Amino acid sequence: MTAPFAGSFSIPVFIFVSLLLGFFFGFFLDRAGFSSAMKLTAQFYFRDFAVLKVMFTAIIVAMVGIGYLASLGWLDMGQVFVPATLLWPQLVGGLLLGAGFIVGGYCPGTSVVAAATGKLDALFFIVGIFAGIFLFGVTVPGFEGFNASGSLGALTLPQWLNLNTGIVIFAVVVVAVGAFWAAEMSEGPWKTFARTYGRTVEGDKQL
Amino acid sequence: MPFETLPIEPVILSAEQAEVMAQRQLKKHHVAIILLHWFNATVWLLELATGGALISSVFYRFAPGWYLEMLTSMFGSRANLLRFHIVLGVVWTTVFFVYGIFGHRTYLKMEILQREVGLDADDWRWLRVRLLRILGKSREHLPPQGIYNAGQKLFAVMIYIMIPVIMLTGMTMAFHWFGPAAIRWAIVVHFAAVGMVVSGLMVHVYMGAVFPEEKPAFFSMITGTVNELFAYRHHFKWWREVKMQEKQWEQAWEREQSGEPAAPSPPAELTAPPSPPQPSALMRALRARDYWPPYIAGAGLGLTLLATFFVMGQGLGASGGFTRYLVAILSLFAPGYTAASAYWSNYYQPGHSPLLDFLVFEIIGAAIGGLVSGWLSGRLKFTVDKGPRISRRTRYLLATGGGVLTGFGARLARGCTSGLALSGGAVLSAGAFVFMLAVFAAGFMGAYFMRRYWL
Repeated sequence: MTAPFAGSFSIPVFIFVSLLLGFFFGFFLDRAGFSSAMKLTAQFYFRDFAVLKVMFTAIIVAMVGIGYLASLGWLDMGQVFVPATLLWPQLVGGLLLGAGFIVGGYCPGTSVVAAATGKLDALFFIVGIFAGIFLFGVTVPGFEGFNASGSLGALTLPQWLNLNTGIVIFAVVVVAVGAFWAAEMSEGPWKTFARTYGRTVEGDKQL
Repeated sequence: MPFETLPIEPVILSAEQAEVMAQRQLKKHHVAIILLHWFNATVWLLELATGGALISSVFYRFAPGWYLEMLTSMFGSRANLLRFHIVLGVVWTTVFFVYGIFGHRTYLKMEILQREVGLDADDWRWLRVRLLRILGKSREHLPPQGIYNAGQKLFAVMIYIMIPVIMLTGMTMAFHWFGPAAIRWAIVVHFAAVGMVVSGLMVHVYMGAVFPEEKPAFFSMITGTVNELFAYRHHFKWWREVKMQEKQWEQAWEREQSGEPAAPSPPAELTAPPSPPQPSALMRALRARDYWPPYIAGAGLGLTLLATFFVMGQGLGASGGFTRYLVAILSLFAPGYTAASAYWSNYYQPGHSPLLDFLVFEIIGAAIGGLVSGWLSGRLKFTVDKGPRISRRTRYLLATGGGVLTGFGARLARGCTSGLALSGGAVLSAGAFVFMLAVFAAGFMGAYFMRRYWL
């Protein structure tokens, strides 16, 4: 039997696995500091590139892992959901989301974790998300044409650029490592790393 | 300080001494032990529930037939039920091995051998007196106890003997080790060992959760601390040990303050109780006040994303889950409209709950994960995250407005930063990279106009 397994789960198992995966999602988001709007937005003022670094590290790890599992035949890529590409809506949607990010301080996933750790502003952000989704749902019949424009289906970069998947994966890794290097240079090399591992934890001493 | 000199035997406390001591908390359990305890409790609950339903042999069966049927249908089939029981058992064994291997000094030597199972003379006396008192044959005081009393230690001894037995027999049955004769024996031994643990568990759960006097012990398994008064009354020897250590630290500190050279001290092993072990690197990282280095957190996030694709066939997300919650609410108030609407009906068909979706539960899990992470590093606090130059009200307004833009944009783009950029990026979706560029572009451009609010 090859992965994914979701189709064979009974409802309780499905719920349990979903909660568990979500648990780690939220856990690592908070560990990265993404439960703080100040930390998230610092990126856009060239002060702290954690958003870029965490996001691209995660993409690289998952991308390379998926590539390996698929090439070993353990993961059936035919059953893996690849988001559809709709050029114009995704371009404009990205601009709107980016604007919402810098105005509101969060994105949908991070706002959940921020609210869970007690950030009251994140609760307002969540209310805003619901309002925004509602607004979209009731107005979308008015711009159905644009909403479906530039549709290219479940297109992947290798298909789009007509290149081998392995080459594209390698190229993404190279670009990401280049971005890490640029981010480190602008922050001061390895400052954050040394800061975290250079000292012991105060919490343990107090007790 | 309620005492000038530490008493050797428990003495009767004055009211104010008791008051002071009731206010002070002593650290009893390390967070790693607390996590292990509740992990263990959860596993036992699930394994007993599923294991009970697996016993179909008339000789051993104790669960009623309807229970067997209910669990079997809940998991789809008996094979699934068995699979769940085995997988969870293997996870359980693995976790214990990880603790044992990486923390053998802390957990095996310090925690288990010294504190949990080492019965000394006072303990045997305690058992005798306790028994006689229960039978009404004695009015003798109970001898002072260490961090765990003799009853708890007996339970621990039994558990630590039975756990490897249960693991080994379980593995024998699950993976058909050692041939058919061994498997038949394993069935009996597995069942008997579990039975013994369960008989002890009943007392353990009763004492912990119901017995009023032991309430602080129960809460110490959540907070890690007990108040000093409880420690004094129930675990005098441990209390004295903690106090001795505190005194030594105080003296050392005073010496340091007055600039005196440290007095030549007798060999450490004669005076000092074994020093508390240094927390492991993993525990230090879990309790760290600082955020993790982005590459470490990112690798964790990436592995989670990989596991999600591997198991669920889709990536992580957030806005899709929000949409389903919204549709569920809409369908409560206006089911006709929701089902007829061109957009909402994508998520809602009468008879099918819009909530039965990965993202819906994943969001709840994410909130719990964030909560646990924040709690471990002492970061939980009601605050407003805002720039220094704006009021709370301004921040709330901006957050709401930003939320509206984000919600709208995420639906237009068919996903948000997690659902499209992160998950789509990992499967090399072309649209995900277009979206990512747009998000960063708008973020950097907008930052200029928003600088008054963040800097």
